Amino acid sequence: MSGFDIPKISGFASGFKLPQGPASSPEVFKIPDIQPITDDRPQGPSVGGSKPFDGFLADSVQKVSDMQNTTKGMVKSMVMGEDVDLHEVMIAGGKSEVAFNLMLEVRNKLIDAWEKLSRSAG
Amino acid sequence: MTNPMSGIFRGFDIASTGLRAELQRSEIVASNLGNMHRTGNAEKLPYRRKVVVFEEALNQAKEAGVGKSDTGVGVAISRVAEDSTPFPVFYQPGHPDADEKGQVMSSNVDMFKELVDMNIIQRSFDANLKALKSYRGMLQNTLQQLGG
Repeated sequence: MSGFDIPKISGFASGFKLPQGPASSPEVFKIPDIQPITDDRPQGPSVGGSKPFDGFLADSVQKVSDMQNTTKGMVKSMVMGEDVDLHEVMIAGGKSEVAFNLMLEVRNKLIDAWEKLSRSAG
Repeated sequence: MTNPMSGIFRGFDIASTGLRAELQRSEIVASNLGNMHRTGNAEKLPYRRKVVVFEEALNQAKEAGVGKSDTGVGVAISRVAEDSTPFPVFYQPGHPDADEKGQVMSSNVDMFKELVDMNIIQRSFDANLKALKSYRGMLQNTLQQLGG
């Protein structure tokens, strides 16, 4: 027995059947009727379930925006002389920076994916 | 605003409690130093040195027995106690606070102890800042190196 014995390929017979009959037969390449896609996703955010992705993205952008607004408010109260801890202000800045970068990376990934899809379609 | 004690920002909040606690401790030290020369006598006691007592702030959810995180949520100042060291007594008959025997009680604040405490507080504050900086650097590095 040499080292180049190729194992017998099996499994095709059960999983994939070549169309029988002449190639010109209209039955061979018949494509099943396309069913319209039904939207069976849950409408709106549901507890413990998934929510639509566009909503998720909008939510995350909104949250990052909220954090930046919080930072802005804290900086404002700081310079207005209110009783705000300096480190709290800086930490709020750090938090919103990290959150913004995270959102940016997610957005870059999405754009990448979209570009790849549009290239493969064309 | 998101839940302050959850998610990837927990490290920020923990370090923040540490910074807040050290700041408060340094305020107490400043108060001790400021009142160091407040004298007194048997009726009107002099300034008593104040000491800060820290306690670990536990996760509320964990205390209630429903949380899964073992991480605390930082430090908190449980109380400001008083140093029970006796007041040193000096003989100073001309002092306004002197009693009939000419004795004055002075505050039990030891300036050198307070200055050393202040140094320790500064180092602890720096340590908290360093932890915060490292935490933030780790998050940023994760984004930079795994993203893009």
